[in-house]
Amino acid sequence: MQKKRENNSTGRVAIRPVSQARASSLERSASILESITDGFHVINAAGCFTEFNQAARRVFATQGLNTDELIGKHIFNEVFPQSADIPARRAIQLTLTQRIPTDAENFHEPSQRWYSVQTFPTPEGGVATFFHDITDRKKGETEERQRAEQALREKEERLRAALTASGTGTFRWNIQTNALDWDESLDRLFGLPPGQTVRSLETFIARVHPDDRAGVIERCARCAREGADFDMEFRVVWCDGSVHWLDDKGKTFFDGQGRPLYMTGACVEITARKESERALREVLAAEKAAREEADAVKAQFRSLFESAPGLYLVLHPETLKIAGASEAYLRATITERAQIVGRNVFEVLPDDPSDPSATGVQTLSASLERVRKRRAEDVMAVQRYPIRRPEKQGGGFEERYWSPINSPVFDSSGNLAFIIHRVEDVTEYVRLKQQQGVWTESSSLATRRDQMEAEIVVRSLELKRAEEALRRGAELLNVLIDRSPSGFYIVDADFRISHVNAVSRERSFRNVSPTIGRRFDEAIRILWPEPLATEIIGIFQHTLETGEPYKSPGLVSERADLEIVETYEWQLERITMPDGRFSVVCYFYDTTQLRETERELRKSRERFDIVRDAAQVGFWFCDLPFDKLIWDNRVKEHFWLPPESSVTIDLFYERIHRDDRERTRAAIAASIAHRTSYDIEYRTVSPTSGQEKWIRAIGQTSYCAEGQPIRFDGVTLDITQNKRAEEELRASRTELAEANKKLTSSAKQLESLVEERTAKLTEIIGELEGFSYSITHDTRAPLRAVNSFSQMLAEEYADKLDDHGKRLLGRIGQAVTRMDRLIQDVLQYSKVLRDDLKLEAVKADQLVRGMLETYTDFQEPRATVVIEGELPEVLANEAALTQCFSNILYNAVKFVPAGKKPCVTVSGEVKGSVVRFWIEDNGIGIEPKYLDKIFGLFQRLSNEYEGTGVGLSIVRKAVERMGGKAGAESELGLGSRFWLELNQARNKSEQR
Amino acid sequence: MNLGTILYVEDDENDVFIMQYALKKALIVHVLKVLTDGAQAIRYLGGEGQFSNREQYPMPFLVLLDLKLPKESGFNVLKWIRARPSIHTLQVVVLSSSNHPDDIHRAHALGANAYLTKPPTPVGLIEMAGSLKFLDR
Repeated sequence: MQKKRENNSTGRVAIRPVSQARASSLERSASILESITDGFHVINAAGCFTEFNQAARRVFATQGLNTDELIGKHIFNEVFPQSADIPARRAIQLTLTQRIPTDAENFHEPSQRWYSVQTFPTPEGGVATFFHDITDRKKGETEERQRAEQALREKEERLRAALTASGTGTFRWNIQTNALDWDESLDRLFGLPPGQTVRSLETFIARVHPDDRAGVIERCARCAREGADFDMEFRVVWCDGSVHWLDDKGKTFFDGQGRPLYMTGACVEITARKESERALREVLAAEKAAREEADAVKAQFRSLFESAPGLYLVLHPETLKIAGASEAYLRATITERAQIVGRNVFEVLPDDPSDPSATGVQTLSASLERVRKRRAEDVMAVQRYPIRRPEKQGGGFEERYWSPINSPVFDSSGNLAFIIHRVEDVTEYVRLKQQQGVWTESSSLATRRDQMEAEIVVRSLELKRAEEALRRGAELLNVLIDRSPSGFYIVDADFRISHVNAVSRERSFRNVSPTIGRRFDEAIRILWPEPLATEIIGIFQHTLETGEPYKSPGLVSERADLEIVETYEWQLERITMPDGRFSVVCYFYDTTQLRETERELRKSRERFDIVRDAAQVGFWFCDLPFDKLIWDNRVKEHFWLPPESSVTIDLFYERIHRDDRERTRAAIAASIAHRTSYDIEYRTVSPTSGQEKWIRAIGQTSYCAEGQPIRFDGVTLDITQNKRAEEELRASRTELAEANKKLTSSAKQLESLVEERTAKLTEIIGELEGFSYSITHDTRAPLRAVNSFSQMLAEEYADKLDDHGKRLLGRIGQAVTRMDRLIQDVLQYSKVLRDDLKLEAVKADQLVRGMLETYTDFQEPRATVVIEGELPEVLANEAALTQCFSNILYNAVKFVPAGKKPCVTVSGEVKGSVVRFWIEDNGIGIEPKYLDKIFGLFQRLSNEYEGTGVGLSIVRKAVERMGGKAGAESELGLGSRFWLELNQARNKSEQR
Repeated sequence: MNLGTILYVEDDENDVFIMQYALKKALIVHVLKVLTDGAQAIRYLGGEGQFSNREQYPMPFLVLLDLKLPKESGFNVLKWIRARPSIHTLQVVVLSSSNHPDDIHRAHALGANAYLTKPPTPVGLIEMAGSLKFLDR
């Protein structure tokens, strides 16, 4: 049975190198790592460099590092010192301790280069590091970012400038930390000295008007809680106690999880607008009150007329249709208003069909005709005029006697406007007479006298009543005139003031006493300065003479008698007085108050307009259902319309961007239907240029008392700039995302590249394994056979072969044996390269002593090998360390001059954290210039000694993979001192 | 004299030749039955098919087993033998060109009685025979 020592034959002399092809196959794995463009270096579990590829060597060289010297040295001592807390160091440290791969970007300060660094744990407990220069990419990124930042900064500056110019304050509220900050414009809006107050949520709340505070706090809380936008009008109180209205709009921004992150917004002062609104409200209220009062007067007048005790019918002079009737008339004639108003008087008062002698209609008709012709009152004889009794009262006719008077009513131009048909029910009187026999149907003289007498009585009675009525009417008129909110006075034909009502008396003519009977021109000169007074007098005279009514424009003038400016609107009409003479009625309305308010309003409106113009706000008003649209010029501008264009709802939709139309339609419909506020953003498109504007429209629907929507009003704002900024922001965000994506994808690509490479490497290693196996089993089999057969030949044909033949056979055997050994050595070397070398504390002393006892080559009499002292414990792989000692010891006893007995000393010394073993021989020695070369693969210095030139390569590789170094010192002919340096197994020994 | 049969499972003709030579030199004259793959070995030992004829294919007292074999590897054959109750005590010597400690360790773990590195030499075979004590019979 063959001894195990065969294993340890590595390092013996080989005469010839293996074939070129085979050698290159063996180096395939190494050459792949050599050829990749990424730098690649490996450190072992102890943190010492074991390998560099060509790219790494190049990069390290540019940084002044000699990789050959670095082999076996600790990475953190030599390349990444403790003091340099850089990503690459952290990454390697992480992989070394946590056994996880990392991916980092590292800036190398001295060379000003960026490197992408990827680390992977190696099976041996070390770290493989791939790296490559990404400085160019980084530089590009940085420039890009700087450019974007610059652009952003400029944009911000422009925005800030615009905001400052407009007096808009801006703020930023970090919802997470509750920190609130704002700019100096907002300081000013809060009435604070710019830049001199500590800004905080508390400071802000303290400025808010106490009545608005709760609402603002509640709103803030909602923003923080729900991420709602802030949009609120509230008051702030300045230090001087003045109250200012602010309109504050904030937009909330969210983090990736949708949590509100911060709010940023703007704030403008709207005090002027608020005041305008308030003034407008007051004026509208005043107007409404005035209208209501006027309506009330009108209604009162009507009801006064209707409830007057006299029996009146008002007739249209041409059609003789009934225009009105008093309640008394309706009661007396047993009719209802609705039955008679608008109907012809004769339809309402027909002759009794059962009485052929009835002449009522004919008589009334004649009288009315006379009134029309003579334009004067006409008193009719007492009429028997039965009236129709309503069905519910039994129907038929009721006999009545009437004393009618028809009087003309003229309008301001003297035309006959109405005929008043006033009747007195004299039935009782006539009946009484009849009972006395006075009133008979006979037409005797007595009867005629009686009738005459009756006429006279009736007439006198009538006269009395007429006087009374007149007096009552005058009283009524006086009351009405007096109560009227308008001023009212009459100037008669003699140009004297004949009537004044309360307003005239108390306001206009308060310094004219007496008033009644006073010459108008005299009175007016007291009131007004020249030339106004003369002008007014002229207008009055003109109306009095021509009957032409006059309506003044607003008269504004300083009073002559008072130090005030009064404003009037007045109208003149000529009327015909009961005595048939003309008079001029002046109605006037003191609009001083109204004018004042209007002026105020106009002023505040102007102010508001300025604000509005500054804010670029357009106003629009629509009567529903959209039959009338009123847009101001700004809105038209927003819709690409010239100021003079008229607007329809169709045009409105037509100008809105096709894609926004339905949305807008829906929003309007929703606002009207659900009483919600209308706030939408849409684009308007120029029909000529196709240009677009982004418009924000805000509006509201008004409803009448019955709940019907009647108006839809609001404003438009041009938000194109905002949108553009938003879009730019979005675009730059997208760009950023793109860049990120690109980065991610390139990282992924790298990852997959590494994966691919790892897979390829694994595959190659697999192939290599298979290759080794095939070398072991298949390649060596025929060699073995050749060897065996040559031996057989030598044995079987010993007697037939001459010495030369035997020598040749011997050569065959030797060559084959060497070939086999070479193969085995190379296999050994490749094993050292790739085997998983687990490091542990190894008792070197035991190991070497055991070896000396086992192998006779190291024993007397062949050699003298001694161990000096006790060899220290080291951190190593036992099998690999055995191999190293074995190879060096075999060399030590092998390379001795012929006839000289090998003498070897093994010793160990501890230097800090490392242990150095010395193997000193008395052999042939090595020229110093070849000292480094002997550790190279297939490097042999002499063919006098058998060997393959692999043994020392295995030693160096194995030691390196254990985190150590190997070397030699020698002089030719003076023996050699080989050394192995490994880390001390300190931790383990300390634990023990 | 019935010398008993040695079953040699080997696909390399040279190795068979060398083995035969070495056995002869070592004066081991047992009948050597040679099979060229692992599957065949399993069928032979299991007495399957033609191998049920034990006259012609007698049960061996020793199996020399190469590791790298076509179809079923030497390890698989060894495993199969050790798992089969009727023959699990059969002496098996693993023969391999590999001197890798892993292979040697694995062979012993699976129950090989000995491990020989190729090429077999007469001295090696005699040592083996001595350790297995089959020459004494």
